[in-house]
Amino acid sequence: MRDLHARDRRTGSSTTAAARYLPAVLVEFLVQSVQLYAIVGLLFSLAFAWKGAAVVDPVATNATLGFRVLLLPGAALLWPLLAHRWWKAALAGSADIPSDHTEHWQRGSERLRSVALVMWLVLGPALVVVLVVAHLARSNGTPSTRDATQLPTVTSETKLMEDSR
Amino acid sequence: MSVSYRAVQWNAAKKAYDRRLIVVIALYFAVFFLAASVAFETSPLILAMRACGTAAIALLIFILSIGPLARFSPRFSPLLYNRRHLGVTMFLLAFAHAALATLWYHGFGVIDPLTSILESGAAFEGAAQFPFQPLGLAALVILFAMAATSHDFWLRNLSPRVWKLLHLGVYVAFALLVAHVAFGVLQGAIWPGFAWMLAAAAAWIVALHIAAGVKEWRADRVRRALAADGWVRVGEVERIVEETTEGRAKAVVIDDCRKIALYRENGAFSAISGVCAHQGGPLGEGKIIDGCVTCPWHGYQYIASKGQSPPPFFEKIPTYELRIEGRTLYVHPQAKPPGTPVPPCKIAGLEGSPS
Repeated sequence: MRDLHARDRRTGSSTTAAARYLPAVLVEFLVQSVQLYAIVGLLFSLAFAWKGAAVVDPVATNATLGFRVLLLPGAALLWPLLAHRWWKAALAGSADIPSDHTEHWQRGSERLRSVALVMWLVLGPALVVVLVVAHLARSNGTPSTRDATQLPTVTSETKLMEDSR
Repeated sequence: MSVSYRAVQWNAAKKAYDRRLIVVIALYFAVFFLAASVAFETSPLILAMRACGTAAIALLIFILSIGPLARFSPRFSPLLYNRRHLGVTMFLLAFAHAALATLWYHGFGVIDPLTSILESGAAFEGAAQFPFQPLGLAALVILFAMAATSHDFWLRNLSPRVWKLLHLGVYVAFALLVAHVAFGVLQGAIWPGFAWMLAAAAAWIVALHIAAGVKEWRADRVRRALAADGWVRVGEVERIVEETTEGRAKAVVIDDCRKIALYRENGAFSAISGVCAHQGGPLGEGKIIDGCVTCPWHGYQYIASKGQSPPPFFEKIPTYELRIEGRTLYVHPQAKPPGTPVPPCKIAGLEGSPS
């Protein structure tokens, strides 16, 4: 595992663990977890598109090649759920399609509307706060010369260090 | 509607829709490159990155406007028909923006790009140095999840409720993108009008959704009288006949939330669920085409008296019993299981025409 704090020491950055919004160890763990999840997901998605899709949903038995290719990203993303469904369907010998194409859809729609309402009640004021804070930050003049997408300080300094080696 | 899955269920209408979408995006890119190359001295890669980013957020604002606008006027319903293609296109534009930004700003260092993005602004000391890139990354992850599960296979296999819940994430993605832009590019020395445009767009989306929600809520609060045996009074037959035309429906709500569509066909009424089995579209706002109730959102079809799609399709929706007492039409509040045939309720003296 790379020592991200060591990088700060090398570059002389004043960044400390307390000032970070994400601790370096957490970033490292997050990145490695995502990479592992994605690799397993990619391998699983190939098997799922080839065989598994037809096991969990018989409608996919004679599906086109284009459809199977389109399945890959979603299968790579949701592989734990699909692996479970595939396992269950293989054991039971039949697919178990979720069955809320019924009256439950109506009740479900009502609940979804409540979720959407709560979401807007939270997001509406949050958007106002974001825009006001961003506007005040801009008005203060601090970042007036800042290119919004410039390299982060730590990264650019690291690059310079590496280049000078 | 599905018998077997295909990659894209294109038809003439969807192809025309997609052609227009491509033309509009191409025009946007042409205008953007022309205007930006005159106004800014910067590399073509940066311009391409910004063109993709601005096109994605503009398309997202358009996509989020369609749903509530269709609640106010059926004229906007055709835009809903192929909205998922808009969504996938928007994700591809956002992905292109992210890929170019990652390549340009994080792609040539010793640290892997993902770590570099998450570490950006690691030591921020105020709002102006807020780490805006992780916000964009988080929004992109949500948009990816939505684009990757946009096919009907996922709708069927995740269940409509879970699928819809997942796709409500678009609102969170929108908020993250507003923050990404507000703490990102708007902090630079650029024309302040961009900030006002973003604020106006955010206000438009929030106001439009709240207004549409209030309209729906009011429509659903209509109290209906019950007969002694529990049937729900819909209204006077003459009034309902006046309110409808052949092949169209009257949408009613019972129990505060259950939507029912009363379809008029050949001088009789049939009652079916007002919620499409596909994506919960408003069946009460559809019409009968080729003898089938057609959902205004994505064109899913059902035979009203049978509550199921015409063969070989297999989608089913609940049906309801109707009866006339005196001159009043009643509906039984207990839904029949999806796909249960219910004979249409004939209206004396009402002539129908073959649809």
